[in-house]
Amino acid sequence: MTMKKTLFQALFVSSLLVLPALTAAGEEFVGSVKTVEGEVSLQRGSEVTTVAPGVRIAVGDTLLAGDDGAVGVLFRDDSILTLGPGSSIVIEEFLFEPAEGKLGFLARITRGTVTYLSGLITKLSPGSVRLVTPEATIGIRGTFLALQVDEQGEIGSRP
Amino acid sequence: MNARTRAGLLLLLPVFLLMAACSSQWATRTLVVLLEESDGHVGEVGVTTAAGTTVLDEAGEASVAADPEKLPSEGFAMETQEVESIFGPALAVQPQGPATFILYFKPDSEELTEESLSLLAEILDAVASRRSVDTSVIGHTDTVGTKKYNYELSKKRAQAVSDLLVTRGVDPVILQVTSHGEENPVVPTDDGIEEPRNRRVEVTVR
Repeated sequence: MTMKKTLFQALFVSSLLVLPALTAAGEEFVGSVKTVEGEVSLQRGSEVTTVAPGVRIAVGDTLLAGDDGAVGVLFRDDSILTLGPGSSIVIEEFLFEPAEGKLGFLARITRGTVTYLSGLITKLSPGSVRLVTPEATIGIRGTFLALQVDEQGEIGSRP
Repeated sequence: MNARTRAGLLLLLPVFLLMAACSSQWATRTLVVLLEESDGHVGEVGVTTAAGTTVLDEAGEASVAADPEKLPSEGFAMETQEVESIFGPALAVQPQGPATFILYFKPDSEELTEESLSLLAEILDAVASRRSVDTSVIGHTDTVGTKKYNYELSKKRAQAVSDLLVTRGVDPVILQVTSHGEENPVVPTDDGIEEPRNRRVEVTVR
Protein backbone atom coordinates (compact mmCIF):
# COMPACT_ATOMS: atom_id res chain seq x y z
CA MET A 1 0.00 0.00 0.00
CA THR A 2 2.68 2.43 1.11
CA MET A 3 4.76 1.27 -1.83
CA LYS A 4 1.88 1.98 -4.23
CA LYS A 5 1.30 5.37 -2.73
CA THR A 6 4.96 6.29 -3.08
CA LEU A 7 4.96 5.11 -6.65
CA PHE A 8 1.87 7.15 -7.34
CA GLN A 9 3.45 10.21 -5.75
CA ALA A 10 6.59 9.70 -7.75
CA LEU A 11 4.60 9.47 -10.98
CA PHE A 12 2.60 12.53 -10.03
CA VAL A 13 5.72 14.56 -9.27
CA SER A 14 7.46 13.44 -12.44
CA SER A 15 4.38 14.41 -14.48
CA LEU A 16 4.58 17.86 -12.93
CA LEU A 17 8.22 18.07 -13.94
CA VAL A 18 7.47 17.02 -17.50
CA LEU A 19 4.51 19.31 -18.07
CA PRO A 20 6.33 22.65 -18.30
CA ALA A 21 8.68 21.17 -20.87
CA LEU A 22 5.76 19.99 -23.00
CA THR A 23 4.11 23.37 -22.80
CA ALA A 24 7.28 25.14 -23.84
CA ALA A 25 7.71 22.78 -26.77
CA GLY A 26 4.05 22.60 -27.80
CA GLU A 27 2.73 26.12 -27.56
CA GLU A 28 5.29 28.77 -26.81
CA PHE A 29 7.98 27.84 -29.28
CA VAL A 30 8.88 30.50 -31.80
CA GLY A 31 11.07 28.56 -34.21
CA SER A 32 13.00 25.38 -34.78
CA VAL A 33 16.60 24.46 -35.43
CA LYS A 34 17.03 23.21 -39.02
CA THR A 35 20.78 22.89 -39.49
CA VAL A 36 23.66 22.16 -37.13
CA GLU A 37 27.41 21.93 -37.68
CA GLY A 38 29.87 21.02 -34.91
CA GLU A 39 28.97 21.77 -31.33
CA VAL A 40 25.96 23.97 -30.59
CA SER A 41 24.18 24.28 -27.25
CA LEU A 42 21.04 25.87 -25.94
CA GLN A 43 20.68 27.47 -22.55
CA ARG A 44 17.15 27.66 -21.14
CA GLY A 45 17.13 28.98 -17.58
CA SER A 46 19.94 27.11 -15.85
CA GLU A 47 19.71 24.12 -18.16
CA VAL A 48 22.15 23.64 -21.01
CA THR A 49 21.40 21.08 -23.72
CA THR A 50 23.08 20.03 -26.95
CA VAL A 51 21.28 21.25 -30.05
CA ALA A 52 20.25 19.00 -32.94
CA PRO A 53 17.96 19.67 -35.91
CA GLY A 54 14.32 19.66 -34.78
CA VAL A 55 14.97 21.35 -31.42
CA ARG A 56 12.39 24.05 -30.78
CA ILE A 57 13.38 27.54 -29.69
CA ALA A 58 11.49 29.64 -27.13
CA VAL A 59 11.74 33.27 -26.05
CA GLY A 60 14.53 33.66 -23.48
CA ASP A 61 16.67 30.91 -24.98
CA THR A 62 20.39 31.47 -25.52
CA LEU A 63 22.02 29.72 -28.48
CA LEU A 64 25.76 29.11 -28.26
CA ALA A 65 27.84 27.91 -31.18
CA GLY A 66 31.19 26.37 -30.20
CA ASP A 67 34.49 27.17 -31.91
CA ASP A 68 33.63 24.74 -34.72
CA GLY A 69 29.87 25.22 -34.40
CA ALA A 70 27.23 26.75 -36.67
CA VAL A 71 23.44 26.62 -36.52
CA GLY A 72 20.43 27.68 -38.62
CA VAL A 73 16.99 28.49 -37.15
CA LEU A 74 13.70 28.93 -39.05
CA PHE A 75 11.27 31.09 -37.10
CA ARG A 76 7.48 30.96 -37.22
CA ASP A 77 7.29 34.18 -39.22
CA ASP A 78 9.48 32.44 -41.86
CA SER A 79 12.58 34.49 -40.95
CA ILE A 80 15.91 32.68 -40.87
CA LEU A 81 18.75 33.24 -38.39
CA THR A 82 22.14 31.55 -38.60
CA LEU A 83 25.15 31.63 -36.29
CA GLY A 84 28.79 30.99 -37.14
CA PRO A 85 31.55 29.64 -34.84
CA GLY A 86 32.01 31.18 -31.39
CA SER A 87 28.65 32.96 -31.40
CA SER A 88 26.19 33.72 -28.64
CA ILE A 89 22.66 35.08 -29.08
CA VAL A 90 19.62 35.49 -26.83
CA ILE A 91 16.10 35.56 -28.29
CA GLU A 92 14.57 38.27 -26.11
CA GLU A 93 11.31 38.88 -27.91
CA PHE A 94 9.26 37.21 -30.61
CA LEU A 95 5.73 38.48 -31.21
CA PHE A 96 3.86 37.16 -34.20
CA GLU A 97 0.13 37.71 -33.83
CA PRO A 98 -0.81 39.65 -36.96
CA ALA A 99 -4.55 39.69 -36.10
CA GLU A 100 -3.81 41.56 -32.83
CA GLY A 101 -1.14 43.71 -34.42
CA LYS A 102 1.45 42.20 -32.08
CA LEU A 103 4.64 42.00 -34.08
CA GLY A 104 8.23 42.18 -32.96
CA PHE A 105 11.59 40.44 -32.87
CA LEU A 106 14.52 41.29 -30.63
CA ALA A 107 17.72 39.28 -30.35
CA ARG A 108 20.86 40.20 -28.43
CA ILE A 109 24.23 39.17 -29.86
CA THR A 110 27.24 39.34 -27.56
CA ARG A 111 29.85 37.77 -29.85
CA GLY A 112 30.37 35.96 -33.11
CA THR A 113 28.84 36.04 -36.57
CA VAL A 114 25.15 36.09 -37.45
CA THR A 115 23.10 36.23 -40.64
CA TYR A 116 19.44 37.20 -40.66
CA LEU A 117 16.91 36.87 -43.48
CA SER A 118 13.74 38.70 -42.54
CA GLY A 119 10.27 37.20 -42.69
CA LEU A 120 6.65 38.23 -42.16
CA ILE A 121 7.23 40.37 -39.04
CA THR A 122 9.42 42.74 -41.08
CA LYS A 123 6.98 42.63 -43.98
CA LEU A 124 3.95 43.48 -41.82
CA SER A 125 5.70 45.90 -39.47
CA PRO A 126 8.94 47.31 -40.90
CA GLY A 127 11.22 48.47 -38.11
CA SER A 128 9.97 46.11 -35.41
CA VAL A 129 12.83 43.66 -35.99
CA ARG A 130 15.98 44.57 -34.06
CA LEU A 131 19.31 42.90 -33.46
CA VAL A 132 21.16 44.39 -30.50
CA THR A 133 24.94 44.22 -29.99
CA PRO A 134 27.08 45.83 -27.24
CA GLU A 135 27.67 48.78 -29.59
CA ALA A 136 24.58 49.26 -31.70
CA THR A 137 21.00 48.40 -32.50
CA ILE A 138 20.45 47.10 -36.01
CA GLY A 139 16.97 47.87 -37.31
CA ILE A 140 15.90 45.76 -40.26
CA ARG A 141 13.50 47.10 -42.84
CA GLY A 142 14.47 44.12 -45.04
CA THR A 143 15.81 41.63 -45.78
CA PHE A 144 19.22 39.90 -45.66
CA LEU A 145 22.20 40.95 -43.58
CA ALA A 146 25.33 39.66 -41.89
CA LEU A 147 26.67 40.90 -38.59
CA GLN A 148 29.84 40.35 -36.58
CA VAL A 149 30.64 41.24 -32.99
CA ASP A 150 34.32 40.77 -32.29
CA GLU A 151 37.28 42.09 -30.31
CA GLN A 152 38.34 45.60 -31.33
CA GLY A 153 40.75 45.39 -34.24
CA GLU A 154 39.79 41.90 -35.28
CA ILE A 155 37.06 42.72 -37.74
CA GLY A 156 38.06 41.94 -41.29
CA SER A 157 40.76 44.34 -42.47
CA ARG A 158 38.71 47.43 -41.74
CA PRO A 159 39.81 50.55 -39.82
CA MET B 1 69.96 52.60 -27.39
CA ASN B 2 71.97 51.12 -24.52
CA ALA B 3 70.99 48.11 -22.45
CA ARG B 4 69.80 50.21 -19.54
CA THR B 5 67.37 52.24 -21.63
CA ARG B 6 66.07 49.04 -23.18
CA ALA B 7 65.43 47.55 -19.73
CA GLY B 8 63.64 50.74 -18.71
CA LEU B 9 61.41 50.59 -21.77
CA LEU B 10 60.66 46.94 -21.09
CA LEU B 11 59.55 47.85 -17.58
CA LEU B 12 57.25 50.45 -19.07
CA LEU B 13 55.71 47.98 -21.53
CA PRO B 14 52.88 46.86 -19.20
CA VAL B 15 52.02 50.52 -18.65
CA PHE B 16 51.77 51.15 -22.41
CA LEU B 17 49.59 48.08 -22.78
CA LEU B 18 47.34 49.25 -19.98
CA MET B 19 47.08 52.70 -21.56
CA ALA B 20 46.22 51.14 -24.90
CA ALA B 21 43.53 49.03 -23.25
CA CYS B 22 42.07 52.10 -21.50
CA SER B 23 42.09 54.33 -24.56
CA SER B 24 39.76 51.99 -26.41
CA GLN B 25 37.00 52.14 -23.79
CA TRP B 26 35.05 49.44 -25.55
CA ALA B 27 36.14 45.82 -25.86
CA THR B 28 34.18 44.77 -28.92
CA ARG B 29 32.85 46.27 -32.09
CA THR B 30 30.09 45.50 -34.50
CA LEU B 31 30.32 45.04 -38.24
CA VAL B 32 27.10 45.02 -40.26
CA VAL B 33 26.90 44.11 -43.96
CA LEU B 34 23.77 44.31 -46.09
CA LEU B 35 23.54 41.31 -48.43
CA GLU B 36 21.67 40.55 -51.59
CA GLU B 37 18.88 37.98 -51.34
CA SER B 38 18.98 34.93 -53.61
CA ASP B 39 16.31 36.58 -55.83
CA GLY B 40 18.44 39.71 -56.19
CA HIS B 41 16.37 41.81 -53.81
CA VAL B 42 18.27 44.22 -51.52
CA GLY B 43 16.60 45.67 -48.44
CA GLU B 44 17.56 48.37 -45.98
CA VAL B 45 19.21 48.26 -42.56
CA GLY B 46 19.86 50.98 -39.98
CA VAL B 47 22.86 50.75 -37.64
CA THR B 48 22.07 52.92 -34.63
CA THR B 49 24.14 54.08 -31.64
CA ALA B 50 23.43 56.80 -29.08
CA ALA B 51 24.99 59.27 -31.55
CA GLY B 52 22.92 58.43 -34.60
CA THR B 53 22.19 56.04 -37.45
CA THR B 54 23.99 54.85 -40.56
CA VAL B 55 21.61 53.51 -43.19
CA LEU B 56 22.78 50.72 -45.50
CA ASP B 57 20.79 50.21 -48.69
CA GLU B 58 23.19 48.73 -51.23
CA ALA B 59 24.33 45.14 -51.63
CA GLY B 60 27.70 44.65 -49.93
CA GLU B 61 27.48 47.98 -48.09
CA ALA B 62 28.92 47.75 -44.57
CA SER B 63 29.28 49.84 -41.42
CA VAL B 64 31.31 49.45 -38.22
CA ALA B 65 30.15 50.60 -34.80
CA ALA B 66 33.12 50.68 -32.43
CA ASP B 67 31.65 52.73 -29.60
CA PRO B 68 28.02 52.95 -28.41
CA GLU B 69 28.45 56.70 -27.84
CA LYS B 70 29.86 57.50 -31.28
CA LEU B 71 28.36 57.44 -34.75
CA PRO B 72 28.76 54.17 -36.66
CA SER B 73 31.10 54.51 -39.66
CA GLU B 74 29.69 55.69 -42.96
CA GLY B 75 28.68 52.93 -45.33
CA PHE B 76 31.59 51.39 -47.24
CA ALA B 77 31.72 48.68 -49.89
CA MET B 78 32.83 45.25 -48.75
CA GLU B 79 34.13 42.72 -51.28
CA THR B 80 32.16 39.49 -51.65
CA GLN B 81 35.37 37.61 -50.89
CA GLU B 82 35.78 39.36 -47.56
CA VAL B 83 32.12 38.76 -46.65
CA GLU B 84 32.68 35.09 -47.47
CA SER B 85 35.84 34.89 -45.36
CA ILE B 86 34.16 36.36 -42.29
CA PHE B 87 30.67 34.91 -42.63
CA GLY B 88 31.31 31.69 -44.60
CA PRO B 89 30.36 29.22 -41.85
CA ALA B 90 27.22 31.18 -40.88
CA LEU B 91 26.17 31.45 -44.55
CA ALA B 92 26.83 27.73 -45.12
CA VAL B 93 24.19 26.61 -42.59
CA GLN B 94 21.42 28.75 -44.15
CA PRO B 95 18.45 26.37 -44.05
CA GLN B 96 15.87 25.91 -46.78
CA GLY B 97 12.94 28.33 -46.42
CA PRO B 98 9.39 27.17 -45.79
CA ALA B 99 7.20 25.45 -48.39
CA THR B 100 3.67 26.84 -48.74
CA PHE B 101 0.63 25.04 -50.18
CA ILE B 102 -2.89 26.30 -50.79
CA LEU B 103 -5.75 23.80 -50.78
CA TYR B 104 -9.20 24.72 -52.11
CA PHE B 105 -12.66 23.55 -51.02
CA LYS B 106 -16.12 22.96 -52.43
CA PRO B 107 -18.65 25.71 -51.53
CA ASP B 108 -19.89 25.73 -47.90
CA SER B 109 -18.01 22.50 -47.28
CA GLU B 110 -14.91 21.06 -45.66
CA GLU B 111 -14.48 18.78 -48.65
CA LEU B 112 -11.37 19.43 -50.74
CA THR B 113 -11.56 19.90 -54.49
CA GLU B 114 -10.18 16.91 -56.43
CA GLU B 115 -7.20 18.95 -57.57
CA SER B 116 -6.26 19.99 -54.04
CA LEU B 117 -6.66 16.46 -52.73
CA SER B 118 -3.83 15.46 -55.06
CA LEU B 119 -1.57 18.11 -53.43
CA LEU B 120 -1.50 16.19 -50.16
CA ALA B 121 1.32 13.94 -51.40
CA GLU B 122 3.50 17.00 -52.05
CA ILE B 123 2.82 18.31 -48.54
CA LEU B 124 3.84 14.95 -47.09
CA ASP B 125 7.05 15.07 -49.13
CA ALA B 126 7.85 18.57 -47.86
CA VAL B 127 7.23 17.56 -44.23
CA ALA B 128 9.53 14.56 -44.67
CA SER B 129 12.34 16.25 -46.61
CA ARG B 130 12.45 19.25 -44.24
CA ARG B 131 12.03 17.01 -41.18
CA SER B 132 9.51 19.63 -40.11
CA VAL B 133 8.58 20.09 -36.47
CA ASP B 134 6.64 23.26 -37.28
CA THR B 135 3.86 23.12 -39.86
CA SER B 136 0.90 25.48 -39.74
CA VAL B 137 -2.54 24.75 -41.14
CA ILE B 138 -4.69 27.87 -41.46
CA GLY B 139 -8.32 27.77 -42.57
CA HIS B 140 -10.13 30.51 -44.55
CA THR B 141 -13.56 31.07 -46.14
CA ASP B 142 -15.18 33.42 -48.64
CA THR B 143 -17.70 36.01 -47.40
CA VAL B 144 -20.93 34.00 -47.90
CA GLY B 145 -22.54 33.59 -44.45
CA THR B 146 -21.93 35.32 -41.11
CA LYS B 147 -18.46 35.93 -39.73
CA LYS B 148 -19.14 33.56 -36.86
CA TYR B 149 -20.34 30.82 -39.21
CA ASN B 150 -17.30 31.30 -41.41
CA TYR B 151 -14.93 31.17 -38.47
CA GLU B 152 -16.40 27.75 -37.61
CA LEU B 153 -16.32 26.64 -41.25
CA SER B 154 -12.68 27.60 -41.74
CA LYS B 155 -11.85 25.84 -38.47
CA LYS B 156 -13.52 22.67 -39.81
CA ARG B 157 -11.57 23.04 -43.06
CA ALA B 158 -8.24 23.36 -41.24
CA GLN B 159 -9.13 20.42 -39.02
CA ALA B 160 -10.11 18.33 -42.05
CA VAL B 161 -6.70 18.98 -43.67
CA SER B 162 -4.94 18.27 -40.39
CA ASP B 163 -6.83 14.95 -40.08
CA LEU B 164 -5.93 13.99 -43.66
CA LEU B 165 -2.24 14.66 -42.94
CA VAL B 166 -2.32 12.76 -39.65
CA THR B 167 -4.02 9.70 -41.22
CA ARG B 168 -1.20 9.75 -43.78
CA GLY B 169 1.43 9.56 -41.06
CA VAL B 170 2.20 13.16 -40.02
CA ASP B 171 2.89 13.50 -36.28
CA PRO B 172 0.09 15.74 -34.90
CA VAL B 173 2.63 17.37 -32.55
CA ILE B 174 4.16 19.29 -35.48
CA LEU B 175 0.81 20.77 -36.62
CA GLN B 176 -0.60 24.14 -35.51
CA VAL B 177 -4.20 24.34 -36.67
CA THR B 178 -5.82 27.80 -36.73
CA SER B 179 -8.83 29.51 -38.26
CA HIS B 180 -9.02 32.97 -39.81
CA GLY B 181 -12.65 32.78 -41.02
CA GLU B 182 -13.41 35.37 -43.73
CA GLU B 183 -10.91 37.90 -42.30
CA ASN B 184 -7.94 37.09 -44.53
CA PRO B 185 -9.14 36.78 -48.12
CA VAL B 186 -6.70 36.34 -51.02
CA VAL B 187 -9.22 38.19 -53.19
CA PRO B 188 -10.98 40.92 -51.18
CA THR B 189 -14.73 40.99 -51.96
CA ASP B 190 -17.95 42.54 -50.68
CA ASP B 191 -19.89 40.58 -48.08
CA GLY B 192 -21.89 37.60 -49.32
CA ILE B 193 -19.73 36.91 -52.41
CA GLU B 194 -18.82 33.37 -53.45
CA GLU B 195 -15.11 33.31 -54.25
CA PRO B 196 -13.48 29.90 -54.78
CA ARG B 197 -9.98 31.36 -54.30
CA ASN B 198 -10.87 32.46 -50.75
CA ARG B 199 -12.25 29.03 -49.75
CA ARG B 200 -8.90 27.63 -48.79
CA VAL B 201 -6.50 26.19 -46.26
CA GLU B 202 -2.89 27.38 -46.28
CA VAL B 203 -0.29 24.89 -45.18
CA THR B 204 3.20 26.20 -44.37
CA VAL B 205 5.87 23.56 -43.84
CA ARG B 206 8.85 24.95 -41.91
